[in-house]
Amino acid sequence: MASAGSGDEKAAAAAMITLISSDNEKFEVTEATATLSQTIRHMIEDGCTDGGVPLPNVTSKILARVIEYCKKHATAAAGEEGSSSSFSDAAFLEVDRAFLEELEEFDDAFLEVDRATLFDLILAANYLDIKGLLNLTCQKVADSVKGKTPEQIREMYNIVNDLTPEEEAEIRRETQWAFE
Amino acid sequence: MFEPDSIKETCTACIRNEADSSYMDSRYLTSYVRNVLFGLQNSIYKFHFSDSSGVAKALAATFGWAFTTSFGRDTYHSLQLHDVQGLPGFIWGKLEEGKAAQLWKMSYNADSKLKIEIEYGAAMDLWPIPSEKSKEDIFIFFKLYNPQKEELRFAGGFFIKASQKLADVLSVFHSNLQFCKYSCRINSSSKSHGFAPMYACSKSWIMTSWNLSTHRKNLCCLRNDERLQQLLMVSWNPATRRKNLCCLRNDEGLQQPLMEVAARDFADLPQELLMNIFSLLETPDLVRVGSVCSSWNWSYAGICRFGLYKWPQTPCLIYTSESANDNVAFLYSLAEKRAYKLTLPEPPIHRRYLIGSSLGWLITADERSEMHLVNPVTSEQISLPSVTTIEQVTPIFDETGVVCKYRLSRHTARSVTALSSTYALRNLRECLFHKAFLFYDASARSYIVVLIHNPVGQLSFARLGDEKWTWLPPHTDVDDCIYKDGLLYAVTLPGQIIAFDLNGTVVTTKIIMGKRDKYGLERVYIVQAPWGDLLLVRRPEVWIEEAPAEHGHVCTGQGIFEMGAFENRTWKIAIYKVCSASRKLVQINSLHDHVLFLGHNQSLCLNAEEYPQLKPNHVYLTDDSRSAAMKCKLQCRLVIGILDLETKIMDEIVSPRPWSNCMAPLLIIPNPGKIDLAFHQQLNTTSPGVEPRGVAAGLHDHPL
Repeated sequence: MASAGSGDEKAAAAAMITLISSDNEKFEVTEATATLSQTIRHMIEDGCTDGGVPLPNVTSKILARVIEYCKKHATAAAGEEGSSSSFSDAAFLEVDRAFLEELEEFDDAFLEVDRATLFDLILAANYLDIKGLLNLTCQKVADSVKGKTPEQIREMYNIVNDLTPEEEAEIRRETQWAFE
Repeated sequence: MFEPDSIKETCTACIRNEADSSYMDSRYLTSYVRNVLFGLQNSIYKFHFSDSSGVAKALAATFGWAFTTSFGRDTYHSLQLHDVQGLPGFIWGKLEEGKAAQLWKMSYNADSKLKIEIEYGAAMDLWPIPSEKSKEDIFIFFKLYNPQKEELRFAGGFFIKASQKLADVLSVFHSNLQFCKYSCRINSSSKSHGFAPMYACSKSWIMTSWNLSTHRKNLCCLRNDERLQQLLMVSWNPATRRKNLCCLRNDEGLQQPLMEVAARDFADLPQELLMNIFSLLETPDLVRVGSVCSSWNWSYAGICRFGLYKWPQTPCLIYTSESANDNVAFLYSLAEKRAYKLTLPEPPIHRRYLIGSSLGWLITADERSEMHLVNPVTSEQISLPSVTTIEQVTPIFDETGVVCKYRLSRHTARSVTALSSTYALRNLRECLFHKAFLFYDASARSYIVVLIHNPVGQLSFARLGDEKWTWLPPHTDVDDCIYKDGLLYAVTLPGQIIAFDLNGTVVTTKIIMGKRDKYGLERVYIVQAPWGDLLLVRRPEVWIEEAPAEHGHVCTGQGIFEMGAFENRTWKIAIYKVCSASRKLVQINSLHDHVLFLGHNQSLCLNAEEYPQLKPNHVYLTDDSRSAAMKCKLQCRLVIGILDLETKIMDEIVSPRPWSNCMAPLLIIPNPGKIDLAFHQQLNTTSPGVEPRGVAAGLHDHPL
């Protein structure tokens, strides 16, 4: 039987998770930060994180950014939880709003990235199943195509049009109005 | 040597080998299989509901995208050779002729495959589908099998809906990866599950296969379950010998990276992610991204097919103009603050009356007073039952047997209000139609058109595909309708709210709210609020004479007197919350973050937080006075604007007003989806008189 002390130590050690990027870089994060990822959360629940969690689909560059996002949002979530019990309603609302504003600013700044990074962030958010980050990045792409013609979108995202003129005409046949 | 982690009841989570301790979260597999799932959903849908020989090609295209090239190509050729009327016949026929092995053989040839087998439809002769399942339910059964070693690696199965939202499918998939639960189901001899081992090849199985060579080491293994083995082996192939079921070997074929990492470009984003992005777009943007490249087009088509687009979309105004061609309508987007020019099918939209707008469809009455549904976004058009099948309308034939006039009888179920009169074909619509709605009934899975018509505001309805209108006596003075939880709610001018159940063999009604004593010259609306309440809204009918100089469509409404009149006479809109328990109305003074849309459209309430281009606590109004046509003739100004509920000031929606006075503009929610009539008719014919099955129809209330 382990003593109470060593049990606590164990708990404290277990609260840190090591994430290993595709280029073998290791990142130590708290469990609270890591569990924003449902994928990692499941691993933790199943006790499969000993020796680190290899993330073969995420480079260290992207993983660093993802962790930055998770840290911020994990802190915010913890802050909200704490505030709800220790503030009066009005104060809570005030704190809540400040948090939300700060988070929004953080998110906006976070999305100031080039196309390739945005792309990698979407894939990473999907792979790691981080809902907030996935919504944020997808919304960014959605906003970027608003009011744009297909030509402008192709240029913006460097997409080669692999549709034949006939296919394109067929696609547009019923919805020509949107292209005028 | 891998060993199953016996600690895990479900055996989905962990695998080990002597060199490496690695983890397989079911998410891995989820992300791996999800693209396939969607492809399958789409294919099965097409199997079912298309009789076109193009299905084979579509199927191949789907597989070509989702499956490995080699197998996809084989399949394609195979299907091409048998370019037949509909795939189900082909597959079934093949299986019946015992040639199924040919299809299956291909999958044996690969090193290691994830077998995905789909069982669908009601023809579950060998593996009965629980009775609450319908033709729309697809049973997906999958397993990982190594044909060389004759080892089964992995298996599972679950039901999805042909129209189910992908995310829901994935969540079902995820939860069903708990194979223990699944095998328990099989073990269970209780009839409630209805699963039983198969002893031969079901004719309704489609076997497809997916090469796992792109997948990395992390795969799950299966619990050693005698009965599950039996089931899997038998359904797999009688010739296949049963082997060690629970063994997962270190297979070189599995030592490959996940396929998502191959994507380097936005054109290569997994379909699910593209659809995720596209589901955030308004219709015009959605249509445009659909022609960027083939992969984006595929996602666009999927979104439209399964109704996964944002819904409701931000409403638009639709109107015609004297200055444009008769077939042209304009769609003014409140989100983009710009107009789109649409060319609609015959008969000319400019000469039709617009009598309703719901679910993105206009309900129109043409110059013969006949009705159509038309989706201005897709140009799809559906004819409604003839006006002559309405209770009070009788055709009058000329000597050559052609309908030349209509007789309109002025009777209700209780009395005759006036003598009947005769109308020219084009004039009947002015006197007959008040407002029309298209509703989707999720429980009966059918579309219903509801019509409020004269004399004295009576109701008739027709399901899509019906040949005639069904009268709903005896209620009169109906002014607005809504469809909620399988019931039709109608509100009358005196404020009575009646709920109709149209799904039984006999229509049943229930009075939700009684009449009130007094009411003026006004319109009444019933609205479903996003927070769950029913709202009742009263709006005075306002007639404002237009100065002769302002006749036409240059009226900017900037004159002081004009604005004053506009404002003074419309601010009295009263909004009530319907408390059905106490049968009382409670007036509310503010909508806070919400926005109302009132007019000839299906009354709508949205949360402005989700629609940043809309103004919170405002009412968007279009003119729906009893005779907007009469207003135009009398040179009265159409009441179209945005009313601020706080200041009570009415503002223009768009200025200068671009519409011609011939047809009152109305609000519409653009809908890029289509009504698949064949789909609904097939559903109707295959399940006649069947009780409504509590089927969730995917993301929205309607699978357009």
